[in-house]
Amino acid sequence: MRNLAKNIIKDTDYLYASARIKALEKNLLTRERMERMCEARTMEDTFKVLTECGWPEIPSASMADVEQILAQRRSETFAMLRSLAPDQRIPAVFLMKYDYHNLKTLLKSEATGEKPDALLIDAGRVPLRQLMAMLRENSFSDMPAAMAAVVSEGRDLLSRTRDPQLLDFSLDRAMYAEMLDTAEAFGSGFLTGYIRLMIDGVNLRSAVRLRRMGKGSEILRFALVPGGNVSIMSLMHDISPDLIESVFASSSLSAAAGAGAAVLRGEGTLAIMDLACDDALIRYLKRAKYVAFGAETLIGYLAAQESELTAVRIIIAGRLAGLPSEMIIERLRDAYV
Amino acid sequence: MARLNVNPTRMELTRLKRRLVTARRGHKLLKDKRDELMKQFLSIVHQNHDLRQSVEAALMQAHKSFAVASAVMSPEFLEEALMYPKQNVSLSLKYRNIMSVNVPLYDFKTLSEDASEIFPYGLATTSGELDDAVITLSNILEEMLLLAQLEKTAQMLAQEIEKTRRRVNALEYVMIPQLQETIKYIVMKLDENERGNLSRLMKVKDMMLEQARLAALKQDEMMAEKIS
Repeated sequence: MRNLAKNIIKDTDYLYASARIKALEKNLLTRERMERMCEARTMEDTFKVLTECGWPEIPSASMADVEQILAQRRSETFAMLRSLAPDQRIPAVFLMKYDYHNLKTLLKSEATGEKPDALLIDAGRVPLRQLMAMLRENSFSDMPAAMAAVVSEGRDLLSRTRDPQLLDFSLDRAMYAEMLDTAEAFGSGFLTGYIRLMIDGVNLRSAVRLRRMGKGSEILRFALVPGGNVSIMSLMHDISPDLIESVFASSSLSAAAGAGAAVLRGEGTLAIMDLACDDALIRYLKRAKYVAFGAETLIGYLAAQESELTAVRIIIAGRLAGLPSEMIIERLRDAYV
Repeated sequence: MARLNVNPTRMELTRLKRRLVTARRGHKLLKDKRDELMKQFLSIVHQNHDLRQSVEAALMQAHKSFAVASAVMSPEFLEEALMYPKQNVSLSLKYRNIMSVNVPLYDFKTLSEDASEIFPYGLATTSGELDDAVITLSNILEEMLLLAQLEKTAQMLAQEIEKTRRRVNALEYVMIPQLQETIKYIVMKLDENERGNLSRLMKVKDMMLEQARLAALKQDEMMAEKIS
């Protein structure tokens, strides 16, 4: 799983970054630590596990404070990775979702006239202020090309159809296409594989959820994202549990597909399928742990950080909502370390 | 019981008797109205109770799904997903008459006929639990409106029952006894007058008889003097 030799950046350029990341990995939450957080008697004990792992003190047990710490943690991770990575395309792939989220929010707020400020996340590649100015002045030259291409289309789509779902579909497709293009241009098979698996997961979940929403197969044309390991043509039929199982049978998402088929048969819940998809991604990422140095380490760490933030949110929100610890544990994604 | 401050005349008596008849008829009618309202009210309260329980259970379910969805997604992503609603609902209001109480009737119509047009978000960055929450909420919209209608009806009926009850009581314990008392007073007063009159007449008669007797006596004496 090394970078291809034709790359200008060699694995050895990652020696320092990889060593640094390996040292930081031991601070990631392990499964055992997560369970300890769930089962801790008081919220202070839950937070103590986090401070043991180098998290800042959480001032109070309110979701607003926790979200603030999570945002701070996220920006610290990205800032560090930006300074460590020899190639900025690695963090960029993980930052794209914030760019597209901001873009969606701004386009929707243009249409509804609502103030979007509280919903924006200033974490993307394009700083928020700049993005807002670009949309206001209709000049997209400083925006990443793939994003610029989809802005006017999205704006037009929303004013024509008044359907925010179609806007989301179109921006999501653009986002995954840009991720994939960036990964391919970067030349890391590991990163491309990760994105492809992510796309497969999105397609599996979209197919199952659309079927469950009672949508016809024609909407799949807009909702499915091309570029995954599984061709979207094979899914463009009437979705049935058997079809889902057979299409994903030989992929690493077969367990998730089984859960998805169970949902359609009315036996399981979407949470189980979401969990299985995320676990498949973590399983894929775990390969990076056996690479001594290279881009994989950075990619694995970034993805692990993201899933750790989700895990912490699940645990704390679940505990604040008073859910029993078993219920929280069964919703926790597998840990990277 | 205090009686009304009226002149004890025959005309007043007939007027009061007429009022008493009207008051009695009104009392009976209002009592019937109160009983009927009570019957309707109780049946609505029973319906309301059952409906409220089912709506509350569904709301708890939706709330739980939202709680899980908001645990998996960051709040900005969650709110962005829901910021632009796709389905629109128009609400129409009519009235129904229950025992002269105008209670509201709500009816809603969704802009799009397609029941699956309730998800305003893409699927890549949202969690499946959000679907569950949206579906549950959309399913209970109709029940919630019905519940609002029933609760408003129950509230209005309760007010009307209270008003009717006060009227019935006022008639039963104040108005009717008062009228009866006054009638009795006038009748007694009139009888008293009658008796007074009668005894005066008898007295006059006695006096006249006495005078006649005295006159006859005087005449006899005069006759006797003449003879002697």
